[in-house]
Amino acid sequence: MKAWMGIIILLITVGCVLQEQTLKLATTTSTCDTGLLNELNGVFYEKYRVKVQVVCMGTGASIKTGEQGGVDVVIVHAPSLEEASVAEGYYVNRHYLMYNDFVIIGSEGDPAEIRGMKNAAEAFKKIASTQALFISRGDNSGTHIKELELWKASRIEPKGTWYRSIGKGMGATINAATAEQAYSLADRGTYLAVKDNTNLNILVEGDAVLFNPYHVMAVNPEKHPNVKYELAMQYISFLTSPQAQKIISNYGIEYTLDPNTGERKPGFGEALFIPAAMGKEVRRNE
Amino acid sequence: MLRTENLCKSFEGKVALEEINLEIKKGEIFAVLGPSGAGKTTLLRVLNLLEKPSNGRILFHLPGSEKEKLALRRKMAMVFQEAPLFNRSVYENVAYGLKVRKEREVVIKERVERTLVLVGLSGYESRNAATLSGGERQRVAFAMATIFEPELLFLDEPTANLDPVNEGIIEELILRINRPGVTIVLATHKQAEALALASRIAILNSGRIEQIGTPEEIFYEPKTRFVAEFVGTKNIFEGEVKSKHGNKMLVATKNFDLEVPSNSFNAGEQVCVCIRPEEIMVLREDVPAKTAHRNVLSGEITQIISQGGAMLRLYVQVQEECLVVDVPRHVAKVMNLKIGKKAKLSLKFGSCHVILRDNR
Amino acid sequence: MSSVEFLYEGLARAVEMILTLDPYVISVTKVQLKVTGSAVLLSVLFSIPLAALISFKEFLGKRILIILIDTCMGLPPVVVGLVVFIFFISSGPLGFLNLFYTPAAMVIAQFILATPIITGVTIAALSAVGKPIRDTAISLGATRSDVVWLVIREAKFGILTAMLAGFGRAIAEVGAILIAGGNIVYWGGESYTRTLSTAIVVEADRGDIAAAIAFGIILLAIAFSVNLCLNLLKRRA
Repeated sequence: MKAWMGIIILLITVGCVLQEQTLKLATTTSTCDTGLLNELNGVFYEKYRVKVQVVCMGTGASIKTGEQGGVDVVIVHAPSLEEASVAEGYYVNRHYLMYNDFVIIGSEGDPAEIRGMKNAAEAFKKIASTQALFISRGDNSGTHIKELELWKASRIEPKGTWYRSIGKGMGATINAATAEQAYSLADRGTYLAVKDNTNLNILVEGDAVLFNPYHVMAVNPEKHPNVKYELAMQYISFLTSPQAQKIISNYGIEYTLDPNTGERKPGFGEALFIPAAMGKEVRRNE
Repeated sequence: MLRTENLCKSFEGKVALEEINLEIKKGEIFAVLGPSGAGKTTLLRVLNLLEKPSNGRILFHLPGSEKEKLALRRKMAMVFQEAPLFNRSVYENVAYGLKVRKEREVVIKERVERTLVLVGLSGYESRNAATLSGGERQRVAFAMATIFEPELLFLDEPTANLDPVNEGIIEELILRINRPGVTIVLATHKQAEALALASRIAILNSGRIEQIGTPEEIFYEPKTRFVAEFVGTKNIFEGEVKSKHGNKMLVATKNFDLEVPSNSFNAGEQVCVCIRPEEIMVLREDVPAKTAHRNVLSGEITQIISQGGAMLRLYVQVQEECLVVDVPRHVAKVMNLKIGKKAKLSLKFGSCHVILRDNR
Repeated sequence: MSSVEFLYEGLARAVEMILTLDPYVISVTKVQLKVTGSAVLLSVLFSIPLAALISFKEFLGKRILIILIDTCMGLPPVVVGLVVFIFFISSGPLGFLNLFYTPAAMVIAQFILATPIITGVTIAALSAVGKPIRDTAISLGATRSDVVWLVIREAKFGILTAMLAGFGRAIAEVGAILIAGGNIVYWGGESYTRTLSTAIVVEADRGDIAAAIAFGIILLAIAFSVNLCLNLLKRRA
């Protein structure tokens, strides 16, 4: 019996030790799947010896989890939701971190014939009118919210057998769209990151409404006294520092990192995100 | 050793034991004899304090009291029907009673060895109990129950599922355990076993005690028809006391009159005359009609069944009554008794036992 | 790729991952074993006395309680995850413990999942030890606690089965630990709260079916080894 007690005490102790100097970050699957955070968090650890624990979920869930005090800091991409939550006092120190853009992806065959269109809402209208299969994340993520905005702009209520909502992350959604050779809205970073596993192409890009900004913000310690506010602020200053911004501007050109293992993989020849915290775009390879 | 007062036990309204009054004397083998379902097991369980009586009480002449059940219980033990054993080695099974008494390991080891010698299972210590034969299991159960030298031992049908050889071994073991003065209460449905082992027998029927007595009393002077039938009195004739003269009386049955020893019955009373098969003699045909034999009946042999051993069982039709008669094989041979032949029967006066006719 | 090719590649990848001692795989496996091992161990320490208590005590509502426990054997893991979420998130009643998104929260989730099974099957195993065995012990002078010990020892195979069933439930489960643990892996591939079972989900979501199958094979291999060991133990006893 004493031996058992010993083991239990040991487990609890080990658990406590492991809790030291860690920071919990909730972020969208689109930033997770690119591996950008593996790069940033590795450098952050080298500098400050703080281990960032990344929980990946949709933007909506990330914001909600932070509101409950489940994490210390979030990186999300749904400005309207973010502003509402900050206004309610759940978050403080919201900073513009970076941006990329959304793209409409689809099969080589392109049954709705949207390839090369410059207006995303018009492209959505065409998909709806041809009843071509469209796969939606349906997870209240930033991408999902953007998609709903586009449907609204095209004055279409997406309903019917051609519209399928799967409630999954970005990677899984591209995966499902690949299996069905369907259309979907994706963020460019994730699309590039999973390009090896899909034969879908970017059909529509460049519309100003497809602009996809990411913000970082800390959970308000007044709402949740046990969050690690100091560390969160340290992390935010790091992300917005020239060093981190430069990492962001170069990430994806020469190499990317595997989001699971952190292994280096070949790059795409283009960056996945454009840094935005310095007030102006940081020049690449400066 | 113990006495019960109006012991009753019922399960969810179903009566299992009714007004049991009995006394068990120190050092005796007391048999509870009865058919299956009579309540033998329930009686033993109540006496072993495994079941609470619904009514009445048990008085033990043992240290401890009903309040100190454990101390009391540790003076007795029970060997259950079908000998349930723990799924462990024989050694661990036999040692269990001492283990729970916190006996020292050295003592346990020595006692297990000694007890296994007693039951004839030396060298079985490391065998798993699950690998034993029926007879071996029963002997291990005996070893388990006797290792801590209880003063009172309950045995529930210890030979019920055994072949004759193992039955003999167990019966001998019971006598050996009883010899140093261990009181034994034996529940059995086998009359031969009760007769061979017990100093006193209680006949149990449907939760009630029909009769308590020595084997002789039970076998030759049954008090009720049930007891008579259960202990193998095959010949029971219903009749009425016709007349009474000194030490004898005349009972008229449906087919014949019988002269029987007189007792407390009066003329006109409804009775049964009982006589065991081995108490009826077959007479030679040429025996003169007027002899010393008082009850002589003539009939025809309808069936002969070998009883195994030295006895043959004859079924003799006398008018409308079929009598059962046991005769030695050699006698049957000498007299050339065969099916279909006539036979003259003599019902010994002294062996005719009269009981009150009950209408159960 | 055809489905057979997926299986084939999955198998090949699994073998490769094991042979090369892939640090990510090892780390994920370690977390799985640590979490599931502790959860099952704690559950066994809790469930067996609980099962003994329920089995040996007569009380009002005992049958209902047993039915309730049996019902909880089918508790949906996601529901358990959400319960852990509600209680352990910072704003929840146990939020002050700071256990959310930690291996400890996963242990709690798997503990909740495994306990009804281990308790329920143990109760069944204990009641399968017949009344004759209990009566024999009592008749031989055993005290109440002696009888309890004896019955537990007699039911050891059944209890072992209960432990295996609990282990099986805990190791294969995804929904609860995904919510409770957050599926966190550090930047360099070192797992914090990612297990083999949640890694399968990650790979499947990424569209890397072969990798998902590879993790599945490793998970099965571990479950098989544990079952094999306990079965050998059974055989020897």
